[in-house]
Amino acid sequence: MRIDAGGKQCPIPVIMAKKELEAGEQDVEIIVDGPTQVGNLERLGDALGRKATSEAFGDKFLVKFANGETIKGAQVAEADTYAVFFNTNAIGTNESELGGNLAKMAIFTLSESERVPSYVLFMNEGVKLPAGDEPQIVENLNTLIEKGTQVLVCGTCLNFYGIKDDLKVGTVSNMYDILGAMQEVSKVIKL
Amino acid sequence: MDEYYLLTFESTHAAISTEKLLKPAEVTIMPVPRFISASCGISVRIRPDKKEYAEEIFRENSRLTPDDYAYYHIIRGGAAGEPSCDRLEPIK
Repeated sequence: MRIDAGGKQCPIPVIMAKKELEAGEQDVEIIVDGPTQVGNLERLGDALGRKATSEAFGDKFLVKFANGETIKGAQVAEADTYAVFFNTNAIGTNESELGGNLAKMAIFTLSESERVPSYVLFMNEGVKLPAGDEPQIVENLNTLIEKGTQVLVCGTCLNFYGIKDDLKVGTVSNMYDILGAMQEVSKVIKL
Repeated sequence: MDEYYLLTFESTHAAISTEKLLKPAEVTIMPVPRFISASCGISVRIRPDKKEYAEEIFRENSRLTPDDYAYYHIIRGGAAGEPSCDRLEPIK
């Protein structure tokens, strides 16, 4: 079977291919846009014991998976997914005014990025970023949410600082969901 | 299309203090775009509708001299594709 994943960004092509391979489908081919997706699909093929080969296909790529039995229950990282973790309201600890401005610029830069994180996670004093009075941070986090990022904010921490009612953006969350998000992505960047 | 005015600085302290000074004009900060060079990586971004107000606050209150900063008008994502970036006269 042939899957057309042209125009689909990571990790969608991997999810589409994984579903068919895990169902035991044979002669699986998938059309993707670029080398990043090809690399991700090759890693998927290796993990599932269904080696992938690729060839040019017009201005796109055609990735073919070898026939055979699919390894069951293989752990496949959703390649190229990442989460950003703030456990303070600044980048670095020495100079909070500089660190606060760096954190603000980091969130802006993420919001402008073409490859937004799957999650932005706030814990401990980091919760003061989405609950603070910086309109720029709130606006940029909302932009990220529009682009598909999930913003999870530690409820215990909001409660500790007495700022639960001040939260302006994001979902009040807990240790299970925040650690679950970290386990799901292929890397966590702590800022 | 994305249009804004941008202040870049020779020193990080100047950037941080200017952002504070211009807060009433709802400025934001961002990394200096790659197509501009400045000593300090923090720049202050001004919305077109707040340009006059920001300039007024800056003119009346800032201690910076024209050697300390540069002022730009930036348009991104227009029909031409490339960002357009004009260096403006210093505010004061």
